[in-house]
Amino acid sequence: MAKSASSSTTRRRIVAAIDIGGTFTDIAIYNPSNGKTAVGKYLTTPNDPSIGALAGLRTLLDEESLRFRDLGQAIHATTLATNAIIEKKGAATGLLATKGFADILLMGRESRYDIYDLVPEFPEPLVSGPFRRELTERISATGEILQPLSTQEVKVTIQELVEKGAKSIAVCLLHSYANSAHETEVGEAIAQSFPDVSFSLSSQVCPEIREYERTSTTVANAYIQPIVSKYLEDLEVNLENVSLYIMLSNGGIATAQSAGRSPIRMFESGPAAGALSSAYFGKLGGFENLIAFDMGGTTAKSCIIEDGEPHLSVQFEIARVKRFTKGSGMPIQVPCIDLIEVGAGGGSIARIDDLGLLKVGPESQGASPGPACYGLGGEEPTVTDANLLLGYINPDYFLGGEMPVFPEAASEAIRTKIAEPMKIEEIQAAWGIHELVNETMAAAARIKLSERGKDPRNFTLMATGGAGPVHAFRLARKVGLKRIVCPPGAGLASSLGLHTVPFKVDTVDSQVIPLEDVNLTKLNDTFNRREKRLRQVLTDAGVREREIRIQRMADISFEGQGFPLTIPIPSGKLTRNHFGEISETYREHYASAHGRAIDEVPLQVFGWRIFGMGPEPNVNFDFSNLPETEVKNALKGNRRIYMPENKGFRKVNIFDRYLLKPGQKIKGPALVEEKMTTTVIGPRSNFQVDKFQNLIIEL
Amino acid sequence: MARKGIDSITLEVLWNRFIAIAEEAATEIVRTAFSTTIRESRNFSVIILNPNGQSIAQARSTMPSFVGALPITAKKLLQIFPQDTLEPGDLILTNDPWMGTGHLQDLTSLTPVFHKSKLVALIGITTQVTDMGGKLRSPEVREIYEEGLQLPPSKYMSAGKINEDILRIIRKNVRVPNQVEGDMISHMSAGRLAARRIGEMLEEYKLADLEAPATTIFQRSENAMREAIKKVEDGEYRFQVSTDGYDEPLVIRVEVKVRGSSILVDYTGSSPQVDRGLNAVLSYVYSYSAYSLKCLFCPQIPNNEGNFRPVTVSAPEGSILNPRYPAPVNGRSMVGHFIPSAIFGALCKAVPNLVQAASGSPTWAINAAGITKESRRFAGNFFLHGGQGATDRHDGRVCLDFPSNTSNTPIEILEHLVPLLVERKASIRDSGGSGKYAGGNGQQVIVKSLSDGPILLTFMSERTRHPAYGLFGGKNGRVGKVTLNGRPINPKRQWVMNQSDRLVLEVPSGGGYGDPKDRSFYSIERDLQEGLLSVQKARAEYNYDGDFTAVDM
Repeated sequence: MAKSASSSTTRRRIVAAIDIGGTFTDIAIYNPSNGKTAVGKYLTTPNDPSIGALAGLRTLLDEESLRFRDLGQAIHATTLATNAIIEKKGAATGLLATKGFADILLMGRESRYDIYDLVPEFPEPLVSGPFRRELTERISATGEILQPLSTQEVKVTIQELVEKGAKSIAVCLLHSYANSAHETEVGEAIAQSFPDVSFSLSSQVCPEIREYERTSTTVANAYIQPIVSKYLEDLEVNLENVSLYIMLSNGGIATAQSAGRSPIRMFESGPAAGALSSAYFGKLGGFENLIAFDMGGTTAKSCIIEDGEPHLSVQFEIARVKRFTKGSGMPIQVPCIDLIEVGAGGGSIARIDDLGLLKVGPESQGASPGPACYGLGGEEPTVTDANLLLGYINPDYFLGGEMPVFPEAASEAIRTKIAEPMKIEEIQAAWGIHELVNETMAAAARIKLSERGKDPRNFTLMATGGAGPVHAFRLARKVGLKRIVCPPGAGLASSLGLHTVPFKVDTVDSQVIPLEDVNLTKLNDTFNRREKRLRQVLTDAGVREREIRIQRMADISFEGQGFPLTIPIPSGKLTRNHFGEISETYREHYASAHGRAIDEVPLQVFGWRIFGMGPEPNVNFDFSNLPETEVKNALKGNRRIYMPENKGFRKVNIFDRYLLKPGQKIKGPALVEEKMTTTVIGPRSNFQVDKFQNLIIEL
Repeated sequence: MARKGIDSITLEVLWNRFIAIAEEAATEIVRTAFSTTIRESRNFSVIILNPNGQSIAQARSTMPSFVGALPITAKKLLQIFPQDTLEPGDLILTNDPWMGTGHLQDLTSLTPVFHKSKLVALIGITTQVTDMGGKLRSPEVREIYEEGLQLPPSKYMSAGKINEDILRIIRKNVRVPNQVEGDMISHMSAGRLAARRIGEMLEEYKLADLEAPATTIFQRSENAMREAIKKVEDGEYRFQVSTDGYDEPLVIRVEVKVRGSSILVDYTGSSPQVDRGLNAVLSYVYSYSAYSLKCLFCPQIPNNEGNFRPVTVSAPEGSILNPRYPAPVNGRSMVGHFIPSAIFGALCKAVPNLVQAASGSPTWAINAAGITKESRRFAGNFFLHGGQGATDRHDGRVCLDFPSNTSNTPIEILEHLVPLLVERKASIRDSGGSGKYAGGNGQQVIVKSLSDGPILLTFMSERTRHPAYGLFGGKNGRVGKVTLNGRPINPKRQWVMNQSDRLVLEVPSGGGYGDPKDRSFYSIERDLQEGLLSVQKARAEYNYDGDFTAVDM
């Protein structure tokens, strides 16, 4: 459908942000002219998530006395792409590979992710045998055509795939990142003969070297493309004249049409929105370097944010056969928020292994039957049960007192299943569960920081989710962080993050070549063409020409290395004189990440990237619906909680989060209670709330 | 914390931390190393050892052959550089095959870790570099002197300062000096990182050293391994496997003696050492023997010294499994990778539900070197793997490295490094051994030269005459084959490839497990569907009578 987001109306009219998660759909509407913001949370309708989203949006608009036609834009994050793969609901997909190489998808990287497991399981390929077909053609590593395509063979092979039932076709030819001519030709042939069959070219989805990873990515894209683009088209129709934009895994947004072409790029759309929310609110409070830590019922997710920008990773994995085990899934090579996910949430089950040692997760009781203390039939000891026994959770004020919990049940589960078999005190067992969860998350956070050579002392932990603030203090101490921020309400509606995102598009041209050998005429020409195209995409999306920012980057490594660093390079026409500057920048980046650069080694280029960006939206949320803070004594009592420093219980003060006055500094240890969570604060610290109602703990 | 004991909870937390530290150091190596063997194929290991050289924890993605050998290397290095001669910022380096992993391409380093002026740990790192000089890696060599530069145990770094002389000597002796220097830097930065993390951990838990957790880790792991061994009936279990050898087959004869909770693996009767690079030093043999037993008996416990304690390994001096210096050892994996299949074969009667039929091992590789028209020197390794052996519950996977764990080299990366063109890389249909559970297919790779000059070629290849065995009625896998321009060649020798020569490698397949007649109809049809099996073979070996019609591929 026609998109007519004229530049004069962009972000002038009301914007709706919709984040559809597994359980809840978060919606936030924002009026740029007066800052008025309204937030709502609705149950997700799993069969057709757009039903719940549209109903929720209507409800929220009604409450604000607004109508659909008042909306200018909708920005959307969704787990649809993820679910399509996990639930194997994708389309029948065909693969066209270079002759001799259709088995690449089956063979993978031929190594085991667990060396002692004689029979490691791997995910079933998304394309089955008869749908993996080959084309006679060959392109060399330098992009030279060694064997041209046969038009006839292309036609026949496509026809056969479609007759067999393929609804989507992935085209992955060798070295197509260096020369995409053959893939483009095949794409055109598909479009011409079978306009209803969707196709994904590896040179567009993932133009990067390494055939298995590129094929795996392109196949996953092809597999979810029909279902995602149909969903987006339907949603656009239902949203009437509102222009629809999609949150991508890399934290940018794209038009629904362009996202529909590369749906694999929206795989981690929801977590990306969450990370951006954290980044925005962190920035607002003056914290630019964050570890955003969100701990819910089944998993804990975190993401590192530096200078207000979430870290990106160039590769991630989907559909892991062995939960949380690296290498047991399918590699996806597109930029994505660098997400750390560990199988430890409030509902994670504690057990004893063969060695008599305590283990927590990744198996989880989820919300039903839930932890033993819910009294809903769960008998396994969980993290929440441990936290209850440790005194960190108030049994009379769980979910603000709306949900009864039973400490006896928690006690029984931990005593019989952990403490007695291990011959330890019940409370030791509970502390062990709590501590082990912290350790698991600390390990994950540390490895991410050190991958980039970052000093933890420069980072603030932003803790969200029901269990986040309960674990934040000990986690921060383990990692060596000096500050914790807990936003109000145990979290930020991730939908708010969607409002803070500029339009962002990027391109990559992969070419593995010594820096010295780069053909500048060709490169400058490519840069010009790409930039023009990016500008077009951005202006089509309603960004004003003069507000467009372009940044060129290069993926560079020392010659012989395999994993490049992405560094900024000068804009404008590149000449040989710039090589010195590029080399300098690279060596600085390298030395800062790894301690030392090698002087004599020449550089090689892996690829050239251009990022185009619209202006940062100047959002200024006004939540006039937040509860008024009445100045009263916030101290609401005290409770004995387990304190490892004392190897026992210690009485600490409990404060009412809603009554804390900004600027008032209080010393830990303490508990701060609110409806959705409890913040546990250990000794040798102090805390206060800021004017944005963030709870700030200094360690 | 009390010296003698440590509670289970703290132990679990610290144990996780040890592994996490090793992982973090491994990440650092991948990010900083230069050789494709490390960064693409992950041919390296990181182990945290106590000051006596006993292994406490290792990174998850690691090479089985390095795991058992590294502690041996550490103990031998400590004899030369005793604890009291070490200081912060030292890095001891060697590639002596007899000290460790069995060939010169593996660089092993030891970084001492100090906490409050006390030596508390050692970080052991082994990485395989692309080149160590000498003759291109090939079993053709007759003495170790041909195999490249020998670096006796040396302090490459003393108190943070690099010994520039050693660096210069190494650079002068290898074909790709920048790659090798880059790899050495990765040892330094990974060792430094792990040392810092251990210090932080000791601070956090107010520990003076690692003794308490290490002792408990050893004890619990040893107990678990012993418990598992106790379940095996006492006895002497024997088996014998043959390899192609250079010209004549070599024999690995094994006796696995189970006595209570201990196992003695003895290789008496194996072939005498040979004057070709097909000898495996004892520490390497030990490594694969202990690894095989751990896979069988205790796969779920993170590896450490404790798992090794119940296991003793012996091989007669002067045999291919315990050669005397200066025997050539370049292709030691061509012998050592057979060890798991020898041990599994011996134990198959005792623990039929734990063992695995033989895999299409060893790891195959093409090593290529030469000079381009533009006088640029190139050298590259191309790893490729055979089919996996089946077990009593699982089919073997198509092309999976075992017992080593090297990732394949992406074709697109290979073609950037060396002027070769790969024309085909595909599973060989019908090649896996039939069985109730089928062996994994091997692969065929066809390679052409694009260079106008000669390319020097050597191979790591085996099982061209001796197939991977099947078990309990399962059939053998298909043997491998190497042809140059259509003629079979002896892949143990060095070859020169000229422009437009065509090289075909067929990597062997895995053995099947159980009677093929018992294979499920579903599995047969799935293999037909996936193109792993032909209708003809399905009918001949599985009595398949379904109506699957082959697609013309």
